[in-house]
Amino acid sequence: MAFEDKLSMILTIGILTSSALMLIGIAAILIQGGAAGHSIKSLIAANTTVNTRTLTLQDAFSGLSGITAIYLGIMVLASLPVLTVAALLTRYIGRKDNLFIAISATVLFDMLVAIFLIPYLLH
Amino acid sequence: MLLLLLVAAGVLAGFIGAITGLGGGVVVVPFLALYLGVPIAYATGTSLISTIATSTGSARSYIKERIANMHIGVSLEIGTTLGAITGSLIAAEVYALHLQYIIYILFGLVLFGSSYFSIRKLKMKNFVPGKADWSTKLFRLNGSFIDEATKKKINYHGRRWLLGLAIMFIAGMLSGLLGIGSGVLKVLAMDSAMTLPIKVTTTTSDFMIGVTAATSSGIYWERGFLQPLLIAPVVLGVLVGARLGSKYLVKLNSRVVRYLFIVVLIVLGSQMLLRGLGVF
Repeated sequence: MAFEDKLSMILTIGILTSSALMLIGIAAILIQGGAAGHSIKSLIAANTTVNTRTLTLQDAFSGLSGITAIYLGIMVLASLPVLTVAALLTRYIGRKDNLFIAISATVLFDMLVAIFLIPYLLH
Repeated sequence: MLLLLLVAAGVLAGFIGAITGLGGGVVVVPFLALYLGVPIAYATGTSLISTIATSTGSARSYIKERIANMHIGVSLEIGTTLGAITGSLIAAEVYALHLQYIIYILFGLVLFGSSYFSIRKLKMKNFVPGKADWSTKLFRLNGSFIDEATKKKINYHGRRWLLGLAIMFIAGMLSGLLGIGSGVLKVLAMDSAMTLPIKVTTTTSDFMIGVTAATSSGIYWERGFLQPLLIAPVVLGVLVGARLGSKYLVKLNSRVVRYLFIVVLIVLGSQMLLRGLGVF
């Protein structure tokens, strides 16, 4: 299987997983009438104060709820571009393409710093 | 009701995003902020995550069909990722200082500026490749694709990589600041600055938008700009819309794509600008 076809397949699986998690999350919240100690009204509202800062990962994963599934879905989705760049890097390593190894490694480094290190420093 | 409206906004954004390379954010942010009363920080956060979905949803098709040029995309991502970090840090400060009107005005201006460049570009009859330069060979900015409208193989090469990179930094910064994919500037950088054909620019832009948006997502998460129950329905809608859009792009004429692109930019740009000025 060609690289492009493999990458396309990984992205397809990732998107399906992410959307399934989000769909399950919404369904669970509607069925259970809320999640993680919050009512539907406070969760599904334009001006809600529930967000990724007020409802932390620790809160979301302390018990299984619709929010746990949605948070997982967002994380899977956000990881797909990172995986794409990582896949490109491995392809260039396999081809010993030094210029593009340096380029894709720089992009991957920028992404990882922005996703993990900067939020940690801001916290 | 709100859930259904969010899904509908997502479908529309996904479709437009996929066929224009805009990323969908230009539809999601105004719709949520202007019509559903969602705070602009949540609207941009929802848009940011939905652009990852739009971008990835359509990019997987273009990657498979070999229209997207991965060499060009990844080489320019150095600019967009650094820009995204800068932009999302600025956004954090803007919201902390309650200067939300800046986001509205900037959003409107970005859309107006982009529509101007697109109208100017419409005067060109056909794709005319520019003269190759040092960067064409070094970064392998060349490729080919089959144009479905004419059934002809189009060979192309890009040039002026450094200019493209500089515009990509600004595109990344606006992406981080406004929660959009900045497909507008990404397309313009590759199309006007690097003289690449529109189908290559829109499809490569789709691949790049996800990388740029994902870069800002960590800072958006930490600052609380992401609201899970706004994001999930919009993302689900976007995925459906993007699938429909990517099916149509390979069959659409370049000029049709451009006209649609311009109408969307002008309408939404006006509304956002007026809101920022306190009129709408």
